[in-house]
Amino acid sequence: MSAPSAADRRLSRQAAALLSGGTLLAALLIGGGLLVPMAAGSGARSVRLGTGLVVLLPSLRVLLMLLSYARDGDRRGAALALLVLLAIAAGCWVGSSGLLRG
Amino acid sequence: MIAGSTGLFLLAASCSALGGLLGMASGIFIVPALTLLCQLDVRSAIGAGLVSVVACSCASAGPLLRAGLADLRLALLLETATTGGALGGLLLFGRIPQRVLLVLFAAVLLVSAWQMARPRLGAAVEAASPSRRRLSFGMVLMFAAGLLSSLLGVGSGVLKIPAMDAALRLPIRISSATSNVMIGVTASAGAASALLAGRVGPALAGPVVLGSIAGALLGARLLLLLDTRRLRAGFVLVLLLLAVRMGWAAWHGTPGAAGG
Repeated sequence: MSAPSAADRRLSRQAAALLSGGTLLAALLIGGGLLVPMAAGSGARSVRLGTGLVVLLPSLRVLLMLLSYARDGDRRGAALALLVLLAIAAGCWVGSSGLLRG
Repeated sequence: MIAGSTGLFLLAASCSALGGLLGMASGIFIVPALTLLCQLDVRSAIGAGLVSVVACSCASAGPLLRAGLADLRLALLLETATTGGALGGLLLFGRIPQRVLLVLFAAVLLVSAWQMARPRLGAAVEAASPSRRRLSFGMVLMFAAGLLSSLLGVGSGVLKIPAMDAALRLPIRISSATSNVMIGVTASAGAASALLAGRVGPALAGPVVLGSIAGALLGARLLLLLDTRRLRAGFVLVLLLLAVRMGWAAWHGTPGAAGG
């Protein structure tokens, strides 16, 4: 692959900050939630929020790439990012709907 | 029957740390552990495997990206294939009997053991840019890897290693970092589905995610300190043993697989 451009390196740093920061926040939410007994609604809510955030983070990274490529006028990159996001959304819909229990 | 939060946390942390040390995603250890040790229903174990794989990827991607090891552009291109495959896997998931899932899992464990027993060379010299034919072959393998990931809750190193080494001719450091970043996106649709459909509740997901994050960070630290060659030789045996146990569970039925 060709050497990364300055824009690519900046995007990598932004993606790294998003993933690391998001993971830390999710760990705090889950850790805090687990300390409260599960029966208490607030603990379970916090755990749900944290696990939901972790699962959402990869898509947020792709969204960040989509926005960055769109801003830089990189149509191919933006189209690929959009395609990935659509495939994830379709996967979520298929996987969580009745279609699964065939 | 599910072990307590602390037990699940420790289980997820050790599976993820081991996965990180051996260059594999956590799913290949955590799905058999949850099925065989915790007697969890296979589909829930696969869901928890996917959630764990996403958590490991999120925790380890930051440092890899900061170090400039992961190639985001390449990751995005390959992710169009892996997420397409994951979508296919999710369409099939409910139609495949649990016993078949267990047999498939045993097969993946066997191939992983074989791959671990031989040294991985990667590409000696980084190819300038893969030819169209090699890239297409790589994309087909990536599609299959995505499909296998969402079906079995694993990272699908079995298919990604040949895709990265033989088809795309990438050096090992770049290819492992890039596939580490990619697997989060690949597994996210399956993980989200498992959470949304209630196959993985907060009492399972919470400790598994927290343990996976801790394990991924620990594994990355240990990787710098330990000589993994001997560890890999030992784990060929563990993978073979797990393959036999999963095959056994498919044949005789575990409490978790009885519904299949």
